[in-house]
Amino acid sequence: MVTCNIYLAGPYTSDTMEYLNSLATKFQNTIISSVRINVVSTWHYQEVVPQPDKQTLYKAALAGIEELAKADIIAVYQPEKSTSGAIFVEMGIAHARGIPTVYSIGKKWSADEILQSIIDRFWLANSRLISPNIALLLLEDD
Amino acid sequence: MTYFLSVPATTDGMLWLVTAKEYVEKTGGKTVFDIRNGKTKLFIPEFDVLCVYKPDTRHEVWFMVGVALARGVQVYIFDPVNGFSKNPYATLCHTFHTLTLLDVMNGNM
Repeated sequence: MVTCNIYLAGPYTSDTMEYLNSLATKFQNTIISSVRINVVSTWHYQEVVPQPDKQTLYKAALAGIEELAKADIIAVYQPEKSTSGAIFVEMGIAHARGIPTVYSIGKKWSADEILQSIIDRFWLANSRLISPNIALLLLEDD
Repeated sequence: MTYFLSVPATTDGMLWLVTAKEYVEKTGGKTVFDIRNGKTKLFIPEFDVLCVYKPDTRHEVWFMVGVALARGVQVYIFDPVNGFSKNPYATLCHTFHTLTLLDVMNGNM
């Protein structure tokens, strides 16, 4: 079975969780149901009040690295709103490893738009990175 | 060893850069430096060690840290705010609040 791991991330803002969860649900239930999805929140450690200690942060970093290692694509929502810079570290890791990155600035992309962007930007150049099933399913949707 | 030194275009950033560059070159290392003013185009050369000064609010510098971590090279972060960064990935780097590069290279940690 061909699998494609999408790493979804966003800053710790009030709407991010709802938005990314809705994307994940749509990916899983409608568009690419045959593809395994990893939804990873990079903001969860910021919910700890007061400031998380170094050990907590270290564990979060290792978890992030582990999840990024599984990712075929990362999709990032509003990276410019990241207060810790963690999302940018992840984008740098993805860049160095040649993992395609899709990001939206200032607007909520729909799951369809994100997938279309993946296809537009990366399908021809990096077809090996993307499951053929994604393109097939998009064509069927059209 | 090539040290990639990235600093903001501020007075203290320039002072730190001069000190660091002199020290690295005295000890036989090479330096590539990057002075960031918010408009500087990002470039990421080949390097053995990345040293970033005050990265906390500068997203593009965190991006470089990610590239360095993925390459498996050493990353040194100097003067994060209050000696602590809430960026979890900073815990994978060497972080120093008050020490200078000279102190670190001399092993006075």
